[in-house]
Amino acid sequence: MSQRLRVEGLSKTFHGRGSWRTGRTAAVHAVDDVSLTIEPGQTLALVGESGCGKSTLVRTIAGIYQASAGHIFVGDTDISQRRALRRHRRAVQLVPQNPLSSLNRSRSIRHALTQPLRVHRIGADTAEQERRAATLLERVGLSADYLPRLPVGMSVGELQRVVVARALAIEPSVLLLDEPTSSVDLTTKARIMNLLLDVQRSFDLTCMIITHEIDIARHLSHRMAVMYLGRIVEYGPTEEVFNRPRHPYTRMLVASASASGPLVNADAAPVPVGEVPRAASQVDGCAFRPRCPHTADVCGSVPLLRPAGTSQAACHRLDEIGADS
Amino acid sequence: MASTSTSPAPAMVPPPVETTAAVPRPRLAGLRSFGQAVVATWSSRIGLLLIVVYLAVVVVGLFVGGDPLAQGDDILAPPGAEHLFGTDQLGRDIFARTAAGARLSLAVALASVVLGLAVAMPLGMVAGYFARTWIDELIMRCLDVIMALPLFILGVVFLGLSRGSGGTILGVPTPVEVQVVIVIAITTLPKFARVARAATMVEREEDYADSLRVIGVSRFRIIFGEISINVLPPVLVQAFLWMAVAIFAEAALSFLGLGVQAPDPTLGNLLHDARNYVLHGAWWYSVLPGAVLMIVIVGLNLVGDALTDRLSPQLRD
Repeated sequence: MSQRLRVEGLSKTFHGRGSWRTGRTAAVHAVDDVSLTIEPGQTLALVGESGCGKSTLVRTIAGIYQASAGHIFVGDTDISQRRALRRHRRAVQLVPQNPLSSLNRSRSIRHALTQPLRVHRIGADTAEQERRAATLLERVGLSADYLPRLPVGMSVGELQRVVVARALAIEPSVLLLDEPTSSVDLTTKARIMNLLLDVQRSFDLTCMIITHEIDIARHLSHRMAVMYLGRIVEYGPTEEVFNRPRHPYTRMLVASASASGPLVNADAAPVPVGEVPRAASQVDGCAFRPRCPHTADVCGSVPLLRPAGTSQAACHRLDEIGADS
Repeated sequence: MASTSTSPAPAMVPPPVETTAAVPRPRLAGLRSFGQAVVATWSSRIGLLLIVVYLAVVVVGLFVGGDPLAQGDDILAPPGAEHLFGTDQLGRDIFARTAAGARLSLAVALASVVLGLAVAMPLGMVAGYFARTWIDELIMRCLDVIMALPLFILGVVFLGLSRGSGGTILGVPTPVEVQVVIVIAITTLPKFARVARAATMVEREEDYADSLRVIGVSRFRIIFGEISINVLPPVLVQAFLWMAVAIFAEAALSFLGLGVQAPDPTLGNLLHDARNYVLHGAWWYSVLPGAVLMIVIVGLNLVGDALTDRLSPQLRD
């Protein structure tokens, strides 16, 4: 059963890695007041540059990090609190970015797939758990022959499928995918995308997918959220965001994505303005101001998401810079 | 997902994946590569040979050594057909005493390393998993205190105190061998814990440590059921190297009269007794047991170095 995922005012602040004796150094607001909702069975694509807090956001939702502020609801259950029960938390599962690193290299695939079943006491006995593990493997397109193998020597595509199977083992209702296609070649990428589409439909999952590739976001998602330095700057239906980007940053992303296709002369691609700022160096007001071509005095205050067409964007000068460029 | 209405319906069964050769990898592959490392270079082969010689002395002594405490009429006899290593001032066979001492030294060293591992590895792994938190600080600072105590100071205080209370530790009667094991085990703790902590910190950075949390696996099981397997090799190599230190430490404590007491032989108190007879020309009394001690320590170090190289090839040369 897929359930609605609702994130409300979620923040995650990291304090410097000084030890507890020497006192804390500057805080990094990796995720800053993020709110979003994914309807049951739908997919949200989260795009943005490296270091903008995408991974931190999904890792916080998955429960790896404790949220500094805000709430995460799956259905009507708040899973963000420290006291949240394990059986509620398991409703959200994560497929991490690096499949090889997310499997214990000394443990067999059989162990990886039966472990979630053992932890949550799914399946009557070991034999039944093994049967389930084999079924899961077949579900993601691998044969049961993989059960006794170790992750070493398997291809990234195969490992990615194993990781997906492990996440599905405890029947989650929300699946978070952290760049599932970042480390594979084009054909494997296409297969994994098909697998995800298939799995989402047959397991009835609510999905959130991080990706650097705008075309994948466009292909897989219903809605799209663009993140910049810990905040969501644009949020709306995928086609709307893609065809009529409102925020200057989204325009930059979309322009560079459409220009970097293999058929386009790479020299002609517009170079994104400015450097990616470090998250630690906080900018007063609009975080995008140092790179924005439309800066004005109003940009000294933090812009909030406000409606623009059928989507929302966080820019003070939406009206001035028009709906389309 | 979204645009599936426009794209052709995806097959319900995913397409076949590119398959890598489906040969199950042997579970012992890691151990095997350590075995290969030991026979790969001449220095480690020699080391292995020296260890085998030492074990041979231990085993042969068990069967043909005779009673290490039996006194004879032949006093301070040089090595010969009847007494392979000669005899001591009481006419006891030095080969029998060396073999029995080597056996006891090995048992004490092995027991202290195992005890040290059993205590230090969980501590080090917990510290490494919770690195840079107060848990880590608490564990590691306690171990720093131990590291600040030299073995012999600790030995004098610990063994002296227990002897003063009639051979008991906290009221429990304890054989002196066990006391020596405890002293040596305590001194191994900081080293073993540091290696375990460092290896755990490396594993902590891998995604699986966090992924298993998301699945719902408890921290206890992640540390002791998953990470521990990958932490074991470097810790065991360290333990192997510390076998040499432990044998040497046991010999040194006995040499100083703190360890196993006469008439029971260990390599250490054999050398202690031999001191007085070197000037009487009884070279065999100190040289032969000393050679056995040297053989095992050099052997363990040579093999241990090979294992360390195998563990971190980038540190070679």
